[in-house]
Amino acid sequence: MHKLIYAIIHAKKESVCRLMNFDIGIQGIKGRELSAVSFNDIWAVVSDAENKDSEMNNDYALEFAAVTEELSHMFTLLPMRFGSLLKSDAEILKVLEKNYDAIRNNLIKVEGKSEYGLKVFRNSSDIIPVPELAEVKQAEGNSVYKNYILNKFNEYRADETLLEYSEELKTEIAEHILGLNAVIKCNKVTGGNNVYNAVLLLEKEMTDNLTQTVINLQSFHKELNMMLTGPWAPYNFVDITLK
Amino acid sequence: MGADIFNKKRDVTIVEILDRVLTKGVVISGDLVISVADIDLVYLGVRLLLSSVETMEQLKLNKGKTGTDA
Repeated sequence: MHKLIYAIIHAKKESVCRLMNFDIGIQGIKGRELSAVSFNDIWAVVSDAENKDSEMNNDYALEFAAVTEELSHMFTLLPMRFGSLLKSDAEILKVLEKNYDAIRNNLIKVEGKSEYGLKVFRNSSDIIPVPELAEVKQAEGNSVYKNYILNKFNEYRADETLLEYSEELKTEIAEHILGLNAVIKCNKVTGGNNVYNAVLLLEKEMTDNLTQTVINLQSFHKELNMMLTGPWAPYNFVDITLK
Repeated sequence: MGADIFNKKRDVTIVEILDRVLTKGVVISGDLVISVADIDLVYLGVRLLLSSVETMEQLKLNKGKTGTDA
């Protein structure tokens, strides 16, 4: 039996004792009991786990995420990636001790904050100028090679136009959201109709302001479909590899 | 009204959750993982799971294009 780590939290001993006494009813994956390994004021929340592929499936990944989410409502935490198994409590203690400063620095960075995801979708054909696409039709009847090159050229122009549009949108959204004192990380768009893909880190009490900001943006850009998700534990804002 | 903006569609939410728990968060270094017997298997399991999520997304894309359940 190994130890599966769910999250590393910063907490006073009394709060963690309440958690471990099941006053708040959280269990690990497969209904396993949670326990905690501490070093100073940081705690790794763990449960037993078997090192088998059968324990690493979608259902347990979702259960794992649910545990982290519950914990994030109560503590400032660093979420672990699913599959973070170590051999024993003693080994976890060694890791906490060795990485204490980095863990504390990351905890301070995310204290009192939540992560949100913001994705924006639009029908890309609305963005690509029609005349460029028309050139392909003019080329009909010409050689196969010319058509091929024109098609490739149009694809390139379409990508460029989409990229320019994404950049403009990025600037506009940043102007609105930075007023909320948020940290924004823009990710690569996922292709297709996705024109904006970012994660935000901001104070928990700013959630309503963020929601209202996105509603305002959505009202202004009726051609866009905005998807805001969260609050999440700060998965995208931890920068640490435990050694 | 604000809650309308939060997308609660189950399939989207699952992809968002899996994307986070499988590819983000605190990781344990390879050196440490390798030093513990069998741990590699765990990470292999996670990679397989990740692959299945990508496959799921691709299937959803294809389904959208064809308008069928196939």
